Amino acid sequence: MKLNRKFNHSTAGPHSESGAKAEGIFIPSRVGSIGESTSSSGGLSYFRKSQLGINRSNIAQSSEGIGTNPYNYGHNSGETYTNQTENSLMPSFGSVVENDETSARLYRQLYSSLRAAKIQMNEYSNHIDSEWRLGFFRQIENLLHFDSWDPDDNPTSAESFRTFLRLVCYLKAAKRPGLSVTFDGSLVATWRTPNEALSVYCSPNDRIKWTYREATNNQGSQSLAGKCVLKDLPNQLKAILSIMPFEKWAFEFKG
Amino acid sequence: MVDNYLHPPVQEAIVELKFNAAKPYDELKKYSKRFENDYPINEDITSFSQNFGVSPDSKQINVTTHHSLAGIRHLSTDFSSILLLNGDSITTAQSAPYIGWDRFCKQVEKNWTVFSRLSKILQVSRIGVRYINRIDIPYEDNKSDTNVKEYLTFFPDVPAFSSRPVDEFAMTVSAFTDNERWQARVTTGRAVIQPLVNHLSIVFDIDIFTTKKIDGKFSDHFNLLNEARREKNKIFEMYITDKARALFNEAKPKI
Repeated sequence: MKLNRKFNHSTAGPHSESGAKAEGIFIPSRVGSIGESTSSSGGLSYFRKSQLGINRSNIAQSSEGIGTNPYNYGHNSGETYTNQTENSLMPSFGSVVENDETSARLYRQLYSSLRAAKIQMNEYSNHIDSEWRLGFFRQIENLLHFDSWDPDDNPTSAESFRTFLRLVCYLKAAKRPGLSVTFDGSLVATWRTPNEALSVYCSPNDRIKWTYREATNNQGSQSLAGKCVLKDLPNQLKAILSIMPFEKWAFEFKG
Repeated sequence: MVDNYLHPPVQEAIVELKFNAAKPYDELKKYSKRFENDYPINEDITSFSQNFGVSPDSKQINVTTHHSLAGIRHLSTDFSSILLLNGDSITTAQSAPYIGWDRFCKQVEKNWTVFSRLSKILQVSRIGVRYINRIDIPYEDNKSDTNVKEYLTFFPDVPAFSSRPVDEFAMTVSAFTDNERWQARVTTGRAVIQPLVNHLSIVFDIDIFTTKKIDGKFSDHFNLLNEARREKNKIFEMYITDKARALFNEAKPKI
């Protein structure tokens, strides 16, 4: 029997908290530290195993065995590569200090996170062009690099990446955002103009928090913040459209 | 066929060659180095089994757990190209973005050539070609349903017990094709994870395989792969509508 991990359905739904609420600015642990970009620009989900009652032995070796696709009937657990840490699973992903269990665990967590991010991005390759996709890979490799990661921070969760990918496709975000991670593992996408920054915090299940900051003439700044489910984000942003036209951020969302 | 579409909906293409002989993990591990150029990452595949035994008086339950290394998963650094070496099979897979049949088949041939030279295994007992497609059907923001029948010819025809849209469905058929060598298993269903906002994603999985006597001649294996691909394409075209074809050819802007 293979170990299978069941993945949760992650559509928008019962978590709706519509209506922009003024909130304090959320300060992620790694704000805009990497890959700020000016350029614009990826088996089988698929079904719940119980839905089909398929006898796997009768099916051509699928991605379940290959383990690339979290939509899968099932997915091999992280244990499959735990004993390989010392050999470095991912070339140029940093090196693990031998006999240091804390480092080895962190390395595995970061590797899992990077793996999930790239696999999920590949699933969107019909909606995100290759330049955007490859740029994202560079950003995420930098972000999750073992040698520069603070062990006290949580690596980004797969569910947070899912919300991020749904976000950029929904907004049609032609301009790749800068990426950062909060202490609890939520990915933060930040779009900037010379005087402004829009940060969107991507939590599992399409839960979104956003902040907008604008530099003022007296070297201070003014800010707005809100939270909602992803589907409601354009409406929240439109509510303050006079100061935030979508074109400014290269969002091609048409509503 | 699939290769001719602007945006083929392929999420994962898989070719599996199975043989009667079984190679132990240690030997597979030695082969791994030969695949490092194409697949720099490798992960062990662990198999896990648990047996429960109950004493005649039902007072004692014995549980034994068996844990072993079953094979090696090789991956490209973007995790889209996969080679799986198991004791009794070699599987080459390409997840999205799809690279087209010609390139994919060349990779299969290259992997099989290297593997058969190292392992001295030439006799194949089963060939499987599997394509897992995901069709992302857009719908308007104010609608929560779309008519899947407009895109697929294979959809559950259920009595209208409710005016609400179908939440989940999954259907599988299995039969020999008109070419008796091949068996086909076709599955459609609503994707467990819906990757896009305001879209309904349908999984369309075609698995073509044969266990009939397969000649030991190397070139014959690849003639058979092409034959399986033709059967797969025939099924694909029969199961989709012109509206789906238009979706795959739509010059939709990617971000």
